[in-house]
Amino acid sequence: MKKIFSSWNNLFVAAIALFFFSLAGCSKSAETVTPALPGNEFLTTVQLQLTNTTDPTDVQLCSSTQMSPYTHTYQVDSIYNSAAFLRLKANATYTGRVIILDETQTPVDTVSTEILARENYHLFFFEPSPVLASNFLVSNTTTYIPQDDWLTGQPASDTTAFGISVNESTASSAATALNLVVNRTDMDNNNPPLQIGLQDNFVTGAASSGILRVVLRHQPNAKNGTYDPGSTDLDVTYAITIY
Amino acid sequence: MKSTKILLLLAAVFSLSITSFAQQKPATFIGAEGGISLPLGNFGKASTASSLMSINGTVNDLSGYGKLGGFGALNGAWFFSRNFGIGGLIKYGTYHLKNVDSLSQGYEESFDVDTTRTTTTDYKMWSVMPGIYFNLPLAKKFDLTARALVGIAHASTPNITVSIEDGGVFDQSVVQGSASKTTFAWDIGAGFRYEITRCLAIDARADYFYTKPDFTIPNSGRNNNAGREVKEYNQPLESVNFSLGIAYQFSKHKK
Repeated sequence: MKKIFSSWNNLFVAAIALFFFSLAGCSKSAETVTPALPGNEFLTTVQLQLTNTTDPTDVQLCSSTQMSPYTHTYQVDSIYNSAAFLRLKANATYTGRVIILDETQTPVDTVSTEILARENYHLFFFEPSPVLASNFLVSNTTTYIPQDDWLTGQPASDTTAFGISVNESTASSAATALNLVVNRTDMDNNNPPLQIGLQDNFVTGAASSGILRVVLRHQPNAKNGTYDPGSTDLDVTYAITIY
Repeated sequence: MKSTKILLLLAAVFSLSITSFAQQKPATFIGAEGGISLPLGNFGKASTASSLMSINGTVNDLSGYGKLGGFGALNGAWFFSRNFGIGGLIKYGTYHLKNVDSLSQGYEESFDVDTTRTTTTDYKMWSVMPGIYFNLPLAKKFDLTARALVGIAHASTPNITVSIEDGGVFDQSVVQGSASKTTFAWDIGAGFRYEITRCLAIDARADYFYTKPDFTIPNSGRNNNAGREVKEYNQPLESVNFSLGIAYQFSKHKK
Protein backbone atom coordinates (compact mmCIF):
# COMPACT_ATOMS: atom_id res chain seq x y z
CA MET A 1 0.00 0.00 0.00
CA LYS A 2 2.84 2.36 0.72
CA LYS A 3 4.02 1.97 -2.83
CA ILE A 4 0.63 2.72 -4.26
CA PHE A 5 0.32 5.96 -2.33
CA SER A 6 3.89 7.04 -2.64
CA SER A 7 4.59 10.63 -3.68
CA TRP A 8 5.68 9.57 -7.15
CA ASN A 9 2.46 7.72 -7.72
CA ASN A 10 0.53 10.74 -6.52
CA LEU A 11 2.42 12.75 -9.09
CA PHE A 12 1.26 10.37 -11.76
CA VAL A 13 -2.35 10.59 -10.61
CA ALA A 14 -2.04 14.39 -10.53
CA ALA A 15 -0.74 14.39 -14.10
CA ILE A 16 -3.71 12.33 -15.26
CA ALA A 17 -6.08 14.68 -13.42
CA LEU A 18 -4.34 17.70 -14.93
CA PHE A 19 -4.82 16.19 -18.35
CA PHE A 20 -8.57 15.91 -17.90
CA PHE A 21 -8.84 19.40 -16.41
CA SER A 22 -6.96 20.76 -19.40
CA LEU A 23 -9.47 19.15 -21.75
CA ALA A 24 -12.29 20.96 -20.02
CA GLY A 25 -10.59 24.30 -19.91
CA CYS A 26 -8.74 24.77 -23.15
CA SER A 27 -11.59 25.85 -25.38
CA LYS A 28 -12.63 29.49 -25.46
CA SER A 29 -13.66 32.06 -28.01
CA ALA A 30 -11.65 35.10 -29.00
CA GLU A 31 -12.91 38.44 -30.24
CA THR A 32 -11.32 41.11 -32.37
CA VAL A 33 -12.80 44.51 -33.12
CA THR A 34 -11.53 46.27 -36.23
CA PRO A 35 -12.35 49.98 -36.34
CA ALA A 36 -12.68 51.99 -39.53
CA LEU A 37 -9.50 52.55 -41.45
CA PRO A 38 -8.49 56.15 -42.09
CA GLY A 39 -8.63 57.57 -45.58
CA ASN A 40 -12.24 57.01 -46.66
CA GLU A 41 -13.24 59.21 -49.55
CA PHE A 42 -15.69 62.13 -49.33
CA LEU A 43 -18.83 62.14 -51.43
CA THR A 44 -18.69 65.85 -52.21
CA THR A 45 -20.69 66.02 -55.42
CA VAL A 46 -23.61 64.07 -56.85
CA GLN A 47 -24.53 64.51 -60.49
CA LEU A 48 -27.32 63.12 -62.65
CA GLN A 49 -26.57 62.89 -66.33
CA LEU A 50 -29.63 62.20 -68.50
CA THR A 51 -29.76 61.56 -72.23
CA ASN A 52 -32.99 61.59 -74.19
CA THR A 53 -33.37 58.20 -75.88
CA THR A 54 -34.95 59.73 -78.99
CA ASP A 55 -32.72 62.80 -79.14
CA PRO A 56 -29.10 62.13 -78.14
CA THR A 57 -28.36 65.84 -78.29
CA ASP A 58 -30.77 66.38 -75.40
CA VAL A 59 -28.34 65.77 -72.55
CA GLN A 60 -29.18 67.13 -69.13
CA LEU A 61 -26.72 67.36 -66.25
CA CYS A 62 -27.51 68.49 -62.75
CA SER A 63 -25.21 68.69 -59.76
CA SER A 64 -25.53 68.98 -56.02
CA THR A 65 -22.28 69.68 -54.26
CA GLN A 66 -20.72 70.42 -50.91
CA MET A 67 -17.76 72.14 -52.52
CA SER A 68 -17.85 75.86 -52.00
CA PRO A 69 -17.87 77.63 -55.37
CA TYR A 70 -16.06 80.52 -53.68
CA THR A 71 -13.18 78.75 -51.95
CA HIS A 72 -13.46 75.38 -53.71
CA THR A 73 -13.13 73.64 -50.37
CA TYR A 74 -15.33 70.94 -48.88
CA GLN A 75 -18.09 72.38 -46.65
CA VAL A 76 -19.43 69.51 -44.61
CA ASP A 77 -22.58 71.34 -43.42
CA SER A 78 -23.47 73.16 -46.65
CA ILE A 79 -25.09 72.20 -49.94
CA TYR A 80 -24.59 74.30 -53.03
CA ASN A 81 -27.52 73.62 -55.34
CA SER A 82 -27.39 76.36 -57.93
CA ALA A 83 -26.92 73.62 -60.53
CA ALA A 84 -29.18 71.10 -58.85
CA PHE A 85 -32.06 71.23 -61.29
CA LEU A 86 -33.20 69.31 -64.35
CA ARG A 87 -35.37 70.43 -67.26
CA LEU A 88 -36.82 67.39 -68.98
CA LYS A 89 -39.10 67.11 -71.97
CA ALA A 90 -42.60 65.83 -71.37
CA ASN A 91 -43.54 62.31 -72.40
CA ALA A 92 -39.93 61.34 -73.00
CA THR A 93 -37.58 58.65 -71.81
CA TYR A 94 -34.10 59.49 -70.65
CA THR A 95 -31.30 57.13 -69.84
CA GLY A 96 -29.64 58.36 -66.71
CA ARG A 97 -26.55 57.69 -64.71
CA VAL A 98 -25.49 58.81 -61.31
CA ILE A 99 -22.00 60.28 -61.01
CA ILE A 100 -20.49 60.72 -57.57
CA LEU A 101 -17.29 62.69 -57.16
CA ASP A 102 -14.77 63.40 -54.46
CA GLU A 103 -13.61 66.86 -55.47
CA THR A 104 -11.24 67.16 -52.55
CA GLN A 105 -8.88 64.94 -54.50
CA THR A 106 -6.56 66.03 -57.29
CA PRO A 107 -7.38 64.81 -59.82
CA VAL A 108 -11.05 64.50 -58.90
CA ASP A 109 -11.91 60.99 -57.74
CA THR A 110 -14.94 59.39 -59.37
CA VAL A 111 -16.41 57.58 -56.40
CA SER A 112 -19.25 56.09 -58.42
CA THR A 113 -16.78 53.65 -59.96
CA GLU A 114 -16.04 52.43 -56.45
CA ILE A 115 -19.75 52.20 -55.75
CA LEU A 116 -20.06 50.08 -58.88
CA ALA A 117 -17.25 47.86 -57.61
CA ARG A 118 -19.17 47.55 -54.34
CA GLU A 119 -22.48 47.05 -56.09
CA ASN A 120 -23.47 44.06 -53.98
CA TYR A 121 -24.35 46.24 -51.02
CA HIS A 122 -25.29 49.61 -52.50
CA LEU A 123 -28.75 50.62 -53.71
CA PHE A 124 -30.07 53.95 -55.03
CA PHE A 125 -33.57 55.27 -54.37
CA PHE A 126 -35.32 58.00 -56.34
CA GLU A 127 -38.39 59.73 -54.96
CA PRO A 128 -40.21 62.21 -57.23
CA SER A 129 -42.44 64.59 -55.29
CA PRO A 130 -45.26 65.31 -55.25
CA VAL A 131 -45.66 61.69 -56.25
CA LEU A 132 -48.93 60.51 -57.72
CA ALA A 133 -50.46 58.44 -54.94
CA SER A 134 -51.64 55.75 -57.35
CA ASN A 135 -48.09 55.33 -58.66
CA PHE A 136 -46.48 55.17 -55.24
CA LEU A 137 -45.52 51.58 -54.53
CA VAL A 138 -42.73 50.52 -52.21
CA SER A 139 -41.24 47.15 -53.12
CA ASN A 140 -37.88 45.49 -53.63
CA THR A 141 -37.87 46.53 -57.30
CA THR A 142 -39.25 50.08 -57.20
CA THR A 143 -37.18 53.15 -56.43
CA TYR A 144 -39.61 54.83 -54.03
CA ILE A 145 -38.57 55.75 -50.51
CA PRO A 146 -40.93 54.56 -47.76
CA GLN A 147 -43.06 57.38 -46.43
CA ASP A 148 -41.76 57.08 -42.91
CA ASP A 149 -38.38 58.22 -44.21
CA TRP A 150 -39.71 61.16 -46.23
CA LEU A 151 -38.54 64.66 -45.55
CA THR A 152 -41.69 66.30 -44.25
CA GLY A 153 -40.86 68.63 -41.41
CA GLN A 154 -38.01 70.55 -42.96
CA PRO A 155 -37.97 74.32 -42.38
CA ALA A 156 -39.13 76.62 -45.16
CA SER A 157 -35.56 77.79 -45.58
CA ASP A 158 -34.48 74.29 -46.50
CA THR A 159 -34.93 74.40 -50.22
CA THR A 160 -33.39 73.11 -53.39
CA ALA A 161 -32.78 75.15 -56.55
CA PHE A 162 -35.40 77.83 -57.29
CA GLY A 163 -36.40 77.92 -53.62
CA ILE A 164 -38.52 74.76 -53.79
CA SER A 165 -39.01 73.07 -50.42
CA VAL A 166 -37.34 69.71 -50.02
CA ASN A 167 -40.39 68.37 -48.18
CA GLU A 168 -42.01 65.40 -49.91
CA SER A 169 -45.68 64.79 -50.45
CA THR A 170 -48.24 62.83 -52.43
CA ALA A 171 -50.61 64.15 -55.05
CA SER A 172 -54.04 62.79 -55.78
CA SER A 173 -54.02 63.67 -59.47
CA ALA A 174 -51.54 63.90 -62.32
CA ALA A 175 -52.33 67.59 -62.57
CA THR A 176 -50.60 68.32 -59.27
CA ALA A 177 -47.98 65.53 -59.28
CA LEU A 178 -44.46 65.54 -60.68
CA ASN A 179 -45.00 63.19 -63.58
CA LEU A 180 -41.73 61.33 -63.41
CA VAL A 181 -41.02 57.66 -62.89
CA VAL A 182 -37.47 56.36 -62.36
CA ASN A 183 -36.50 52.74 -62.96
CA ARG A 184 -33.14 51.19 -62.24
CA THR A 185 -31.62 49.29 -65.16
CA ASP A 186 -28.40 47.82 -63.74
CA MET A 187 -28.01 44.65 -61.71
CA ASP A 188 -25.43 43.55 -59.18
CA ASN A 189 -23.51 40.31 -58.65
CA ASN A 190 -25.65 38.91 -55.86
CA ASN A 191 -27.51 35.65 -56.21
CA PRO A 192 -30.21 36.36 -57.25
CA PRO A 193 -29.08 39.67 -58.75
CA LEU A 194 -30.48 42.85 -57.27
CA GLN A 195 -30.81 46.30 -58.78
CA ILE A 196 -28.20 48.99 -58.17
CA GLY A 197 -29.39 52.33 -59.59
CA LEU A 198 -26.22 53.80 -61.02
CA GLN A 199 -27.89 53.32 -64.42
CA ASP A 200 -31.53 54.26 -64.75
CA ASN A 201 -34.43 55.18 -66.99
CA PHE A 202 -36.26 58.43 -66.32
CA VAL A 203 -39.73 58.41 -67.88
CA THR A 204 -41.59 61.71 -67.96
CA GLY A 205 -45.29 62.34 -68.34
CA ALA A 206 -47.19 65.56 -68.74
CA ALA A 207 -45.62 68.91 -67.97
CA SER A 208 -45.23 69.42 -64.25
CA SER A 209 -42.69 70.40 -61.61
CA GLY A 210 -41.46 69.23 -58.26
CA ILE A 211 -38.42 67.70 -56.67
CA LEU A 212 -36.46 64.49 -57.02
CA ARG A 213 -34.77 63.11 -53.94
CA VAL A 214 -31.88 60.69 -54.50
CA VAL A 215 -30.69 58.48 -51.67
CA LEU A 216 -27.83 55.99 -51.74
CA ARG A 217 -28.24 53.26 -49.17
CA HIS A 218 -25.20 51.31 -47.99
CA GLN A 219 -26.46 47.87 -46.99
CA PRO A 220 -23.50 45.64 -46.14
CA ASN A 221 -24.68 42.05 -45.91
CA ALA A 222 -28.24 43.35 -45.79
CA LYS A 223 -29.12 44.40 -49.33
CA ASN A 224 -32.39 42.81 -50.39
CA GLY A 225 -33.85 45.41 -52.72
CA THR A 226 -35.70 47.31 -50.02
CA TYR A 227 -34.88 50.64 -48.47
CA ASP A 228 -34.73 49.83 -44.78
CA PRO A 229 -31.54 47.86 -44.15
CA GLY A 230 -28.24 49.63 -43.75
CA SER A 231 -27.42 53.29 -43.57
CA THR A 232 -27.49 56.29 -45.89
CA ASP A 233 -24.34 57.24 -47.79
CA LEU A 234 -25.82 60.27 -49.54
CA ASP A 235 -29.11 62.13 -49.64
CA VAL A 236 -29.62 64.95 -52.14
CA THR A 237 -32.60 66.71 -53.68
CA TYR A 238 -32.94 68.29 -57.12
CA ALA A 239 -35.53 70.63 -58.59
CA ILE A 240 -37.31 69.14 -61.61
CA THR A 241 -39.23 70.83 -64.36
CA ILE A 242 -40.98 68.83 -67.04
CA TYR A 243 -42.02 70.99 -69.99
CA MET B 1 36.15 12.37 -41.34
CA LYS B 2 34.60 14.13 -38.44
CA SER B 3 31.10 12.93 -39.35
CA THR B 4 32.39 9.38 -39.79
CA LYS B 5 33.85 9.49 -36.30
CA ILE B 6 30.56 10.69 -34.89
CA LEU B 7 28.67 7.91 -36.66
CA LEU B 8 31.09 5.31 -35.38
CA LEU B 9 30.74 6.68 -31.87
CA LEU B 10 26.94 6.58 -32.08
CA ALA B 11 27.03 3.02 -33.41
CA ALA B 12 29.29 2.04 -30.54
CA VAL B 13 26.96 3.62 -28.00
CA PHE B 14 23.98 1.86 -29.54
CA SER B 15 25.71 -1.48 -29.58
CA LEU B 16 26.77 -1.06 -25.99
CA SER B 17 23.29 0.01 -25.01
CA ILE B 18 21.69 -2.97 -26.63
CA THR B 19 24.08 -5.47 -25.16
CA SER B 20 23.97 -3.90 -21.72
CA PHE B 21 20.34 -3.03 -21.24
CA ALA B 22 18.22 -4.95 -23.70
CA GLN B 23 18.28 -8.18 -21.88
CA GLN B 24 14.59 -8.01 -20.99
CA LYS B 25 11.38 -6.66 -22.41
CA PRO B 26 10.49 -3.06 -21.60
CA ALA B 27 7.75 -2.62 -19.04
CA THR B 28 4.13 -2.25 -19.97
CA PHE B 29 3.10 1.33 -19.24
CA ILE B 30 0.30 3.82 -19.26
CA GLY B 31 1.02 7.49 -19.35
CA ALA B 32 -0.20 11.00 -19.78
CA GLU B 33 1.44 13.60 -21.90
CA GLY B 34 0.82 17.15 -22.93
CA GLY B 35 2.50 19.79 -24.96
CA ILE B 36 2.40 22.20 -27.80
CA SER B 37 1.36 21.62 -31.38
CA LEU B 38 2.76 23.61 -34.28
CA PRO B 39 0.39 23.60 -37.28
CA LEU B 40 2.10 23.07 -40.63
CA GLY B 41 1.22 23.82 -44.24
CA ASN B 42 -1.92 25.73 -45.17
CA PHE B 43 -3.42 24.75 -41.82
CA GLY B 44 -0.94 27.06 -40.12
CA LYS B 45 -1.04 29.85 -42.69
CA ALA B 46 -2.97 33.10 -42.51
CA SER B 47 -3.97 35.20 -45.48
CA THR B 48 -3.12 38.87 -45.50
CA ALA B 49 -5.93 41.35 -45.04
CA SER B 50 -5.32 42.78 -48.51
CA SER B 51 -5.83 39.36 -50.09
CA LEU B 52 -9.25 39.12 -48.41
CA MET B 53 -10.51 42.49 -49.56
CA SER B 54 -12.07 41.27 -52.77
CA ILE B 55 -15.32 43.13 -53.03
CA ASN B 56 -17.20 40.21 -54.50
CA GLY B 57 -15.91 37.88 -51.82
CA THR B 58 -13.02 35.51 -51.33
CA VAL B 59 -14.25 31.95 -51.75
CA ASN B 60 -12.57 28.91 -50.20
CA ASP B 61 -9.46 30.61 -48.84
CA LEU B 62 -6.91 27.82 -48.28
CA SER B 63 -5.41 29.37 -45.18
CA GLY B 64 -6.44 27.61 -41.99
CA TYR B 65 -5.29 30.31 -39.54
CA GLY B 66 -4.22 27.61 -37.08
CA LYS B 67 -2.13 29.04 -34.25
CA LEU B 68 0.30 27.21 -31.99
CA GLY B 69 -2.00 24.87 -30.08
CA GLY B 70 -1.98 22.68 -27.05
CA PHE B 71 -2.89 19.08 -26.48
CA GLY B 72 -3.11 16.38 -23.89
CA ALA B 73 -3.00 12.65 -24.41
CA LEU B 74 -3.21 9.30 -22.69
CA ASN B 75 -1.17 6.45 -24.05
CA GLY B 76 0.11 3.05 -23.17
CA ALA B 77 1.88 0.07 -24.62
CA TRP B 78 2.66 -3.58 -24.02
CA PHE B 79 5.97 -4.90 -25.35
CA PHE B 80 6.06 -8.30 -26.93
CA SER B 81 9.79 -8.23 -27.61
CA ARG B 82 12.91 -6.51 -26.35
CA ASN B 83 12.30 -3.51 -28.57
CA PHE B 84 8.79 -3.62 -29.96
CA GLY B 85 5.34 -3.38 -28.53
CA ILE B 86 1.79 -2.49 -29.38
CA GLY B 87 -0.07 0.35 -27.83
CA GLY B 88 -2.30 3.27 -28.44
CA LEU B 89 -2.87 6.96 -27.96
CA ILE B 90 -5.96 9.01 -27.19
CA LYS B 91 -5.31 12.67 -27.78
CA TYR B 92 -7.27 15.91 -27.60
CA GLY B 93 -5.98 19.24 -28.81
CA THR B 94 -7.17 22.71 -29.65
CA TYR B 95 -5.83 25.51 -31.81
CA HIS B 96 -6.80 29.15 -31.52
CA LEU B 97 -6.92 31.16 -34.72
CA LYS B 98 -4.04 33.46 -35.47
CA ASN B 99 -4.07 36.80 -37.31
CA VAL B 100 -7.75 37.33 -36.56
CA ASP B 101 -7.00 41.05 -36.88
CA SER B 102 -6.22 40.69 -40.57
CA LEU B 103 -9.18 38.38 -41.03
CA SER B 104 -11.44 40.99 -39.46
CA GLN B 105 -9.88 43.79 -41.48
CA GLY B 106 -10.47 41.82 -44.66
CA TYR B 107 -14.18 41.59 -43.85
CA GLU B 108 -14.27 45.28 -43.00
CA GLU B 109 -12.71 46.36 -46.26
CA SER B 110 -14.68 43.88 -48.30
CA PHE B 111 -18.00 45.09 -46.88
CA ASP B 112 -16.76 48.69 -46.72
CA VAL B 113 -18.08 49.27 -43.22
CA ASP B 114 -17.07 51.28 -40.18
CA THR B 115 -16.45 48.40 -37.79
CA THR B 116 -16.30 44.63 -37.82
CA ARG B 117 -16.29 42.52 -34.69
CA THR B 118 -14.94 39.04 -35.38
CA THR B 119 -15.46 36.30 -32.83
CA THR B 120 -13.75 32.97 -33.30
CA THR B 121 -13.75 29.64 -31.53
CA ASP B 122 -11.00 27.03 -31.83
CA TYR B 123 -10.14 24.07 -33.95
CA LYS B 124 -10.75 20.99 -31.84
CA MET B 125 -9.33 17.59 -32.54
CA TRP B 126 -9.72 14.17 -30.97
CA SER B 127 -7.70 11.25 -32.18
CA VAL B 128 -7.55 7.59 -31.28
CA MET B 129 -4.57 5.81 -32.75
CA PRO B 130 -3.23 2.32 -32.03
CA GLY B 131 0.14 1.34 -33.38
CA ILE B 132 3.67 0.08 -32.90
CA TYR B 133 5.89 1.25 -30.05
CA PHE B 134 9.65 0.97 -30.08
CA ASN B 135 12.03 1.12 -27.14
CA LEU B 136 15.82 1.13 -27.17
CA PRO B 137 17.76 1.41 -23.90
CA LEU B 138 20.61 3.89 -24.15
CA ALA B 139 21.67 3.83 -20.51
CA LYS B 140 20.48 2.21 -17.32
CA LYS B 141 17.52 4.55 -16.86
CA PHE B 142 17.49 6.25 -20.20
CA ASP B 143 15.67 4.94 -23.28
CA LEU B 144 15.11 6.03 -26.81
CA THR B 145 11.43 5.63 -27.69
CA ALA B 146 9.53 5.82 -30.92
CA ARG B 147 6.05 5.07 -32.17
CA ALA B 148 4.13 4.82 -35.41
CA LEU B 149 0.38 5.08 -35.01
CA VAL B 150 -2.56 4.86 -37.37
CA GLY B 151 -6.16 5.58 -36.46
CA ILE B 152 -8.93 8.09 -36.70
CA ALA B 153 -9.22 11.75 -35.87
CA HIS B 154 -12.36 13.73 -35.25
CA ALA B 155 -11.74 17.38 -36.07
CA SER B 156 -13.95 20.45 -35.81
CA THR B 157 -13.34 23.75 -37.54
CA PRO B 158 -13.79 27.01 -35.68
CA ASN B 159 -16.96 29.04 -35.71
CA ILE B 160 -16.31 32.54 -37.06
CA THR B 161 -18.91 35.23 -36.45
CA VAL B 162 -18.47 38.65 -38.04
CA SER B 163 -20.67 41.44 -36.73
CA ILE B 164 -20.94 44.38 -39.09
CA GLU B 165 -21.57 47.97 -38.05
CA ASP B 166 -21.82 50.86 -40.43
CA GLY B 167 -23.18 54.32 -39.85
CA GLY B 168 -24.33 53.30 -36.40
CA VAL B 169 -26.40 50.45 -37.85
CA PHE B 170 -25.67 46.82 -37.01
CA ASP B 171 -26.40 44.62 -39.99
CA GLN B 172 -26.88 40.88 -39.88
CA SER B 173 -23.81 39.00 -38.75
CA VAL B 174 -21.97 36.73 -41.16
CA VAL B 175 -21.41 33.31 -39.64
CA GLN B 176 -19.01 30.65 -40.85
CA GLY B 177 -20.22 27.72 -38.83
CA SER B 178 -18.21 24.93 -37.35
CA ALA B 179 -17.95 21.68 -39.31
CA SER B 180 -16.86 18.30 -37.99
CA LYS B 181 -15.43 15.28 -39.70
CA THR B 182 -13.96 11.95 -38.65
CA THR B 183 -11.25 10.61 -40.87
CA PHE B 184 -8.04 8.63 -41.13
CA ALA B 185 -5.01 9.95 -39.22
CA TRP B 186 -1.47 8.92 -38.50
CA ASP B 187 1.30 9.91 -36.16
CA ILE B 188 4.97 9.14 -36.09
CA GLY B 189 7.46 10.33 -33.54
CA ALA B 190 10.38 9.71 -31.28
CA GLY B 191 11.70 10.81 -27.93
CA PHE B 192 13.44 9.86 -24.75
CA ARG B 193 12.31 8.23 -21.54
CA TYR B 194 14.00 8.62 -18.18
CA GLU B 195 13.04 6.35 -15.30
CA ILE B 196 12.76 8.39 -12.13
CA THR B 197 11.66 5.41 -10.03
CA ARG B 198 11.13 1.76 -10.73
CA CYS B 199 7.53 2.48 -11.66
CA LEU B 200 7.58 5.99 -13.01
CA ALA B 201 9.25 7.52 -16.00
CA ILE B 202 9.15 10.87 -17.72
CA ASP B 203 8.99 11.27 -21.46
CA ALA B 204 10.05 14.00 -23.82
CA ARG B 205 9.15 13.53 -27.43
CA ALA B 206 8.34 15.02 -30.80
CA ASP B 207 5.69 13.70 -33.18
CA TYR B 208 4.40 14.49 -36.63
CA PHE B 209 0.63 14.21 -36.95
CA TYR B 210 -1.40 14.13 -40.16
CA THR B 211 -5.06 13.99 -41.02
CA LYS B 212 -7.00 15.37 -43.97
CA PRO B 213 -10.68 15.79 -43.33
CA ASP B 214 -12.87 17.08 -46.14
CA PHE B 215 -15.00 19.66 -44.40
CA THR B 216 -18.21 21.07 -45.81
CA ILE B 217 -18.56 24.35 -43.99
CA PRO B 218 -22.01 25.71 -43.15
CA ASN B 219 -22.39 29.43 -43.74
CA SER B 220 -25.29 31.52 -42.60
CA GLY B 221 -26.36 35.13 -42.40
CA ARG B 222 -24.64 36.00 -45.66
CA ASN B 223 -27.09 38.04 -47.70
CA ASN B 224 -24.67 39.56 -50.18
CA ASN B 225 -21.65 38.27 -52.05
CA ALA B 226 -18.81 39.93 -50.19
CA GLY B 227 -16.16 39.00 -47.67
CA ARG B 228 -14.25 35.77 -47.10
CA GLU B 229 -16.46 32.74 -47.47
CA VAL B 230 -15.20 29.20 -46.95
CA LYS B 231 -17.61 26.55 -48.18
CA GLU B 232 -15.17 23.64 -48.45
CA TYR B 233 -11.95 23.02 -46.58
CA ASN B 234 -9.94 20.04 -47.74
CA GLN B 235 -6.44 20.83 -46.53
CA PRO B 236 -4.23 18.56 -44.40
CA LEU B 237 -4.39 19.30 -40.71
CA GLU B 238 -0.77 18.47 -40.05
CA SER B 239 1.34 19.45 -37.12
CA VAL B 240 4.55 18.83 -35.23
CA ASN B 241 3.87 18.12 -31.59
CA PHE B 242 6.33 18.53 -28.74
CA SER B 243 5.32 16.96 -25.46
CA LEU B 244 6.35 16.06 -21.95
CA GLY B 245 4.76 13.15 -20.22
CA ILE B 246 4.80 10.85 -17.29
CA ALA B 247 4.37 7.09 -17.49
CA TYR B 248 3.52 4.41 -14.96
CA GLN B 249 5.43 1.20 -15.68
CA PHE B 250 3.54 -1.81 -14.41
CA SER B 251 6.13 -4.51 -14.51
CA LYS B 252 9.35 -2.72 -13.62
CA HIS B 253 9.17 -3.87 -10.02
CA LYS B 254 9.30 -7.47 -11.19
CA LYS B 255 12.84 -7.11 -12.49
